[in-house]
Amino acid sequence: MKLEVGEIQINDIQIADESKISDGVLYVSEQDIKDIVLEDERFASVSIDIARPGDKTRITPVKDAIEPRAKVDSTSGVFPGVVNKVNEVGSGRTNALKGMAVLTVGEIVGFQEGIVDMSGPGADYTPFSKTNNLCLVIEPVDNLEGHAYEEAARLAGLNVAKFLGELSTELEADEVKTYETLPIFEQAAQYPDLPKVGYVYMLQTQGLLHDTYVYGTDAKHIVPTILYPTEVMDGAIISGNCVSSCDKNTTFHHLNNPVIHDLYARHGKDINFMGVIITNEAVYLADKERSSDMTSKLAEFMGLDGALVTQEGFGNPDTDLIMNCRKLEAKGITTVITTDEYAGQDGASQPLADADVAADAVVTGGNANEVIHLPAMDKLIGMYDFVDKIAGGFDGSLKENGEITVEIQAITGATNELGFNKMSAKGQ
Amino acid sequence: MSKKVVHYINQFYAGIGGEEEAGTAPFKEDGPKGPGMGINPQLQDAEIVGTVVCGDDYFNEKDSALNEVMDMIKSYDPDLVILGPAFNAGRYGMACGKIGATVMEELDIPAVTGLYEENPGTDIYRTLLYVTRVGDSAVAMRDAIPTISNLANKLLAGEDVDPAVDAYHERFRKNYFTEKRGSERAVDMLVAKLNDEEFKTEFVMPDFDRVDPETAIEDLSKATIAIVTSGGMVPAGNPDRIESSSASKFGAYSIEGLDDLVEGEWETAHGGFDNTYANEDADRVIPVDVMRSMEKDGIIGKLYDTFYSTVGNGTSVANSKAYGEAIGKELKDAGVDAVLLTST
Amino acid sequence: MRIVTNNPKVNKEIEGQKIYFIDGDYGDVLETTKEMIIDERQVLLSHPLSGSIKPNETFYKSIFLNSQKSEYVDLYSLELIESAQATYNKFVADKATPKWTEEILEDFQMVDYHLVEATLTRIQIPPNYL
Repeated sequence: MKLEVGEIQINDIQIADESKISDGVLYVSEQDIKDIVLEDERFASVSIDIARPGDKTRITPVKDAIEPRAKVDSTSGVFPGVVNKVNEVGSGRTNALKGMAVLTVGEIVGFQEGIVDMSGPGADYTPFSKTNNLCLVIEPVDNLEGHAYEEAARLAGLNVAKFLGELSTELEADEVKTYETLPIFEQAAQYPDLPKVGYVYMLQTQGLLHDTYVYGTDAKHIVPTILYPTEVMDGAIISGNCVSSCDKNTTFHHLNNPVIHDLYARHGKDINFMGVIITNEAVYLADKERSSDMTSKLAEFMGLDGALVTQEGFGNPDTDLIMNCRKLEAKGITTVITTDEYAGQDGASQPLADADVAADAVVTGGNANEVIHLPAMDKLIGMYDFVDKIAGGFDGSLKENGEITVEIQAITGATNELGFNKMSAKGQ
Repeated sequence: MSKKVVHYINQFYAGIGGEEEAGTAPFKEDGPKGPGMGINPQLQDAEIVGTVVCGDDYFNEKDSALNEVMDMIKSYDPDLVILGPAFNAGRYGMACGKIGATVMEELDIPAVTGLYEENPGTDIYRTLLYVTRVGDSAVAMRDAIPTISNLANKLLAGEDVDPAVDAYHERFRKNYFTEKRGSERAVDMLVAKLNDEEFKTEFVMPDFDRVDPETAIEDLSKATIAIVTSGGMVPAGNPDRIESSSASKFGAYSIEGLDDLVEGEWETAHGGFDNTYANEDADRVIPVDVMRSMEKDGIIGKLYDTFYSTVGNGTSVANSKAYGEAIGKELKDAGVDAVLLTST
Repeated sequence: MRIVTNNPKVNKEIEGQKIYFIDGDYGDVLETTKEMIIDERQVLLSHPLSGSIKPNETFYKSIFLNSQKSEYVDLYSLELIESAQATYNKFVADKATPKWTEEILEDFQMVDYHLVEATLTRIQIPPNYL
C-alpha cells in the first residue's frame, strides 16, 4: 500500500466571508462552520476562535485535536466509517493541512481536562502551542447526557476537519511525501538482510470517554489485527478519549503518529518496517490476556525480529503494556516500549502501576505529576470554571487573576506516550 | 574560605569498640576521625571540621539520640554532612539514613552516605539523602572513599550530579527536554537492541525478588509442618538475645508437648510493632494452638517440635536470605515437608 | 459474578447482577475487594485501576469479581489489587481527593457506570472455569 501525502502549509487562519485556502492562509467562514456543527441537534451553539503560536491565549478544556485532511481523486474518504463511508484508506493521495489543528473545546463532564497555552512556560509542554488553532467552543442543548455530548463533539470536530481538508483538494502541495508498505511476503523480501520490525499500537478502549475507533468501530470489541501504516495517516484510527489529557492520543496524534514516521525514516536503512498491529486496553482481564496473546502471535506470524510498543493512558493500561512486552520478549522478539510516569509531585514514588524486568528498554514521556505554574493569559478560549476540579489541579489552584498551579497532566499532550514530544524524565 | 563538612560515624569506626560498645552515647570531636582521615584529603576547598560519633544501639533505641546528634552537627554550622559509609551494617545504615535525611530536611544542606544495595537503610532513605553505592563490608572502604568524596565535592561546588555517573541511588525523577522526540529515541533504542549494541533505558524497572511457589502438598494429613517466623517470638527472657531490629541471628526453640503458648512464658523480641498483643498470646504470632488441634484432628500429619524465629525489623535482605537457607536446610534434613511462615 | 462498587448509580441502575455496595470511598472499595480475594478466595475479573481518571480524582470505583470460591487465593488477583492500593496511596498522599460538588460527583458516577456497562458487554457470559 502506497500513500502520497501532499503537505499544504497553513501559516495563518483568518475569519472571512468565504472559506478557502490561499497563499498559505486558511480563510474560514463562520457560517460554514456553524452550518456543519449545528446540523447536529444536540448542540445549542458553537463559537469559533483562532489561537496562534505566541498569543497570550489559553484554550481549555480541550477535548480533541484534529489535523484537516482530504483524499484527492479517490472514492474513499478520510475518517472512514465515521464521517465518510467505510472504505479502505491508506493508498493514493491525501492532502494534509500542516501547521494547524482543529481543537474541540467544551465541558463534556464537570471534571473535563485539557489546557493549551499558546505562550509562556505551559506552551513548551503541548504540541498545540506550535500550531494555528481553529477552536470550536461547543455548547450542548440542556440536559444532554455525557455520552451523547462526547459523541456529538467527536463528530463535530471530524466533520469540520473534513470540510477544511476538502478546501485543499485543488491545491498544489508544498511538499509531497511518499510512504509505502508492501504485502507481507513482498515486504519481507524487499530487505531480506534487515531485521523485520513491527509497531504494536495500543489503543485506549475502556469505555465511555476512554474509547478509540478503528474504521468507525469501537476498538474494545476488536481482537488485535494488522494495518498498513498508511491507513493510520488517513484517519482509520480516531480518538474518543477525553480523560487524562497529558497522555491521551488525540486524533491529531494518530494521524501524525510519530512512531510510524520514525520507523519509516529508518525503513530500508536499519530496519524493515513490516506493519502495524493494533491492540486494545481492556478493563476485563480475560480481554487483556486474549489481546496480548493475539498480539504476540501476530508478531510471530509476521516473522518480526523486533517490536516497538506504545501505550495510551494511565494505570490499567500499564498492565497491558507489560503483558505485551513480556509475551513478545518470550517469543524472542526484541521489544522497546514507550510510556509515561506518575512518580508523584516530588518524583520519588514508583512511577508505573505494573512492571516487569523483561521491559529492559523503555522510553518515557516524563513524569505527569510534576507541578507547573502557569501565568495568567490575556485571552481565554473556552471556560475556566472547571479548572479547580481538573486532574492535577490543586484545590484553589486557579487564582482570581487567571494564574494556575497544576500538575502537567492537565496539559494536553504533555507526556504523550507515542513519543510525540521532546521530553523525558531521569533520575536525580 | 574553605567549606565546612561534618562527618558522622559509629562507635566501631571511631575505634571505641564493636557490639559491646554499641551503647556509647553521642559525642563530638573537632577534625576528622576514622574513615574521615581518608575522606578529608580528597575534599576540595572543604574540610571535615568535626566528627560526631554515636553507638548503634544508643541511636536506634534512645528516642533523644537524633536530637542530640543533630545538635552536635549543627554546632559546626556545616555546608555538607557525610555519614558512614555503613556498607551492609543494618543499624549503622539506618542511623546514617535517618540523620542524613534529617540534615537535608531541617538544615537544607546536602548529606551523603554510602550503603550497600541490600542495607535496609538504602530502601528506606535513598530518596531523602544521597546514598552512594558501596560494597557490603569495610573491605570496600578504599573504593567508597573516592565515591563519597567526589559526590560531596560536586555538591559543595553546586555542580549537577547524576545517579549513574556519580554512583548513587536515584532520589527522584525529574523531567527534562530532549534533543530528539520520544519516538525517535525509541526507534534508536530498538535498532541498538536488535544489533546487540549498548543502549540506555530511560526507566529501569524495579526488580522484585520473586520466588515461584512450590507445588502443593498432595496429602496434608501425612505432612510434617514446621513454623518459622520473622515476628521475633522467643522464650521469655530472649535467651539468644535476638536484636529488636537488624537481627544478626535466628533462634530455634522447642514446642514439644505444648498445645498452647501461655502468657509469661513467651515474648517477642521484635521492636517494630506494639507487642502488647503478641506478648499476651504468642499463638497470635505462631499459631501453635491451632496447629496442634489440626494435628489432633488429623488434618495435618504432625507439627514439627521446633520452631524458628528471627526479627524481620530492618534486617538486611542478605541476612534474611542466609537465615532462610540455613533454616531450610535444617528443616529439610529433619524431614519436614512444609513450613508455615508468619510475619508481623 | 459480583460487582463491588461504591457508585450509587451502578447500585441502582445495573440490573440482573449481584452488587456488593460499599458506603465508602475508592480506597474502601479496593480494601474490601482485597479482603474478598483473600478471605473468600475470589478471583478478579476486571482491572482494579480501570479508567484513566486518577484515583485521587474520582470518588467512585467498581470492580468485578468471580464470586465462586476458588481452592486457593488467586495470587495474580492479589498482586493486582495490592499494586492498585499502592498506586491509590501514592496519589492520595500527594493530594487528597477533592470534595466535589454534587454535580461533579454525578459526572464521575456516570463515567464509572458506563465503564461497568462496557465491561459487562465484554464479559458476556461470566466465566465458571476460574
